Amino acid sequence: MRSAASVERLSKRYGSVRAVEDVSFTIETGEVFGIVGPNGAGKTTILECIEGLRRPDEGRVRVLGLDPWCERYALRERIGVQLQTAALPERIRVGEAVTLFADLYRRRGDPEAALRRVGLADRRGAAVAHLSGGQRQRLFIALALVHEPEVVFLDELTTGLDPQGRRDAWDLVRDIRERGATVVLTTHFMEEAERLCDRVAIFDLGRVVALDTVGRLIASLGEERRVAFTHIGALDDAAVRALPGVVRVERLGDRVVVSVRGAGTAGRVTTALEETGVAFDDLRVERPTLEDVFLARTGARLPGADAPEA
Amino acid sequence: MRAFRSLAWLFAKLALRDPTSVFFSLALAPALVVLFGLAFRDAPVALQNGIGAMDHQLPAIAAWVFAMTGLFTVPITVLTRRETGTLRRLQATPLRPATYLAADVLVQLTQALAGLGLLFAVGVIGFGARPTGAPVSILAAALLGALAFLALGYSLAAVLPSSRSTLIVGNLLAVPMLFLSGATAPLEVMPQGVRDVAAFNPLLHAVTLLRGAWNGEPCSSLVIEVAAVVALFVAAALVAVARFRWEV
Ligand SMILES: Nc1ncnc2c1ncn2[C@@H]1O[C@H](COP(=O)(O)OP(=O)(O)OP(=O)(O)O)[C@@H](O)[C@H]1O
Ligand SMILES: [Mg+2]
Repeated sequence: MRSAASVERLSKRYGSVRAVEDVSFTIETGEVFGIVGPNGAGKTTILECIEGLRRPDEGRVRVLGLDPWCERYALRERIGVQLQTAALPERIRVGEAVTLFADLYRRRGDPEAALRRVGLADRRGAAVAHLSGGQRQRLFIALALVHEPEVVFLDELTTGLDPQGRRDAWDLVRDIRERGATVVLTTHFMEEAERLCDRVAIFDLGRVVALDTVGRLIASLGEERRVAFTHIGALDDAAVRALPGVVRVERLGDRVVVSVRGAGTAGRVTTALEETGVAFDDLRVERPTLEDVFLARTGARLPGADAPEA
Repeated sequence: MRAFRSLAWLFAKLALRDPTSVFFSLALAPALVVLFGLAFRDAPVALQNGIGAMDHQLPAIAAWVFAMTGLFTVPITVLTRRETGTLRRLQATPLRPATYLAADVLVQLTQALAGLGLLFAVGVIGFGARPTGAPVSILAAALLGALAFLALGYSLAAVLPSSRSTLIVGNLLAVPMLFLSGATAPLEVMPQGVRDVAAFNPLLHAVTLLRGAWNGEPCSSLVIEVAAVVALFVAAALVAVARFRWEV
């Protein structure tokens, strides 16, 4: 199978800010490829380089066999783009927007069908300015899909959507994939990436720090499990730490999280805890998630800490 | 072609929905004619060269409206679309800058000419203006003037950084343009130095051209004016196309 897009040694700077540095990866045809990373990691920048909206300083990009910068018009006929921030002309209505966008492509899709797909068919006559944030977001998704593109780029697809809207958007992504298109999306929600993506690239400070299927990324943390509980009586941390298979003991107030490793360890630790006679409540054994991989790989810097400038 | 038609049709609808745009393009100029007409109701019918006051002033008001469209309406419209990210979203489609510009120009031009029609109608029906020039030359002069100032507007939009700066630059250009156009005070009473500077004022040439066409002056006496307005159009259009930017 030919790959839908490939990026080789791509770098992009804004003045002294190194937004993307020496990044390479391949996106396979028909897959849902996720890009995650903290704010400022370079997700939007790399996406825009692939879409042909920005010219990389260095490196080579191919999308559907085309150079996104030099052959941008040919490429734009075949890709659909939802930008992180975008707007439409003032006073435009929902139906007018999809009709216009359908008319901009050689392969004119069905504007009505696009509105139905995102659940906006009954808002056709509404002014775009009067839509709620989530409805606006859905309209922009419709604009990215109206011409049935081969590759769809969704930059923060579900930011601003309510839980139901988010689930609808996930269904939409699965539907796009089932129709054979390739999807490239960025997200801040690890649960979303875990559910939707065939493969995920974790970005940090402009570089890819991990790239694999969700399953393998999680497995890369080792056979770690977490036993979490709220203790009621006194608890000797050292005694817990001394139990076989325990890697780490963390406390958040009354809540204790014991990280354990090795097959069957979680069960043995639970039994051992019961034997120590400590009263505890709300015990749960958790599998690591993509979020744990994310925190481990991006060094879990404090929120709001800016990327260092080069 | 489908993209062009769809975009032009949409822009036309949006322009009609925008009260500011309707006011400046369609209502302001006729209102000025009414004000002028009422103020000069008792003035002698013939001012200079046997031309009536209204026939002298009507073409000047028309040229002034074109200049305002070019200095304010066009750059503010384009820059607002650039600043909000509207152009960026369009950039992610196969739409070419030239197609976008052509559709927008067509709508602005139609709007300017519609405003001109209203203005002339009010002058002729309400205040007894009487064009003696051929309708074809009046239309040609109006088209040329409108295109030149629209092009000026798109070139300003291309080089200026923000919609706020267009207000400043627009005013900086509008005041001397208007003052040195002969539309407010006759240039004949000004010192030679001022008149030399005024020779570089495109609005002066547009006013003279429209006035000449309206009052039936022969083309041969308007060569300089035609050349000046065409020069503005060509220079501004080149800048507008060469420096067009989708994003801030
Ligand atoms: N147009 C620009 N001009 C200058 N610097 C920019 C520009 N766009 C992005 N940057 C910088 O480049 C870096 C990467 O930005 P980018 O938008 O790609 O990050 P991101 O991963 O998409 O972040 P977020 O999750 O917040 O959307 C940041 O440090 C940002 O400040
Ligand atoms: Mg981003």
